[in-house]
Amino acid sequence: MRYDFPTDYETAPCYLVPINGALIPLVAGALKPFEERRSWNSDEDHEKAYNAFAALEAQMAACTMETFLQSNDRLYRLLDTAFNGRQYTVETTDPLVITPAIPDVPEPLDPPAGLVGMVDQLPGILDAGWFGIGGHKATLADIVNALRVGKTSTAESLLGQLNDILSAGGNIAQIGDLVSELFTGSVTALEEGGMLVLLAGGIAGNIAATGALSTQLAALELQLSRVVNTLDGGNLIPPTDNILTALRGTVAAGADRNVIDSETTVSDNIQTLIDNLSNEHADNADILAKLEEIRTLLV
Amino acid sequence: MISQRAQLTFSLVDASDSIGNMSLWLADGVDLDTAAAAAATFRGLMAGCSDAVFTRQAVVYGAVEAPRPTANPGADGTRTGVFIFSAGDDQFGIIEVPGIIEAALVASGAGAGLLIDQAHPAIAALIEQLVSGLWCNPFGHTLAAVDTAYLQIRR
Repeated sequence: MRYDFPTDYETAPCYLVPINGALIPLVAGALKPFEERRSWNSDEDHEKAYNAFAALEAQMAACTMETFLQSNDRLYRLLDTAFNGRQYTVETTDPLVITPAIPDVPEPLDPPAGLVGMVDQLPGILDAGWFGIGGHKATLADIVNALRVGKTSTAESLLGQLNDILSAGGNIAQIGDLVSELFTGSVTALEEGGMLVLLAGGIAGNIAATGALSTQLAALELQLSRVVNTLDGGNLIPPTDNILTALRGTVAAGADRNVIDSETTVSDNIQTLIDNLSNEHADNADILAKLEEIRTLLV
Repeated sequence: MISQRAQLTFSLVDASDSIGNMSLWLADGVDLDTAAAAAATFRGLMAGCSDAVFTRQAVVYGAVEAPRPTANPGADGTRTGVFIFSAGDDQFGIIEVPGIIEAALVASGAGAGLLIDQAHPAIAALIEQLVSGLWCNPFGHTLAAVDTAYLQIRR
């Protein structure tokens, strides 16, 4: 019987077939006919088969199940040493004996060592007695408690002020007092776990301060509107009666003329202005005298 | 060791795919090149004499121990030491040692009784010779390094 070498040899998957070690010599030896030319239809098939079966026979003795198991044991000891800090010792090499033996159930060390020990030491000890003896490890509950206000009266006082500010009933001074109180009392607050209130007060202060700033901006906008109105009437289409018009007269400014470079117009306008002022203050001799001085100087 | 006379063997296949062999002995002093040239001449002569067709030839320079020696007690030729060598890309070479000595087998630990101890002096010397560059696999690829060596039962 002659064979064609499988055409899908390069792409076919490999299977793991456990073979009892005592059978390896027989099973591997039985493959000998596949190494010979007479089993194959062509020289090409023979060369492929010879090398394929040689590789197969090499793998059959390359890795025993015992090797696999020892590899698993080595991995266990690696992880056990890293996580738990357990130290292993090679007692003999032939046969290989390593102590302690790997248990069926992992046994944690007391006190913890390795990475577990490092993590165990991270939280620190609260309420330790003299020389650090006693106490308990800080827990998540301890951290939460540390962020709360220790005294009920303080919490109520601060809460009341926050309510006033948030309801727009407070003023800038009250915000300042609250923030100042929070910060100047920080030592006590920290001791009592007041960081949370400190943060809340800061946020509320920011909100209130932003409101006050908005008010100031509105007032400033009003003042600017008054100035603009004074200058040009405040409209997109300038009115005919405003300061610029009074200064320049009826002739509009152009590319070759400034608003107040017309001597005649300015003089006329000043003359009119002084006349108007003189009429308004006709009964005040001092003002009239000053107006006349101005008229003399400017007109 | 006594050298045997060089033998030239022709194999011919018939219509039923059966093989028939014809053997000739070469005169003393005939070297391989002369034997090969003579074989080519003889194949041409055979073509006119037989309906079977030539399929293979072999030139064998044999040698034998005489008188025939006695094997060591307990020697078992089927217990074969199989040495698998790498011989380049995807090329391997298989060398068999029938009746491998028990002392060459690993005695303890993984592979005990199966693997051949490559550090055993006799084995190490054998491997060193096989990778010397003189030996190759059936396809002409020189044996480079031993991959594994272990016991097989081969007949």
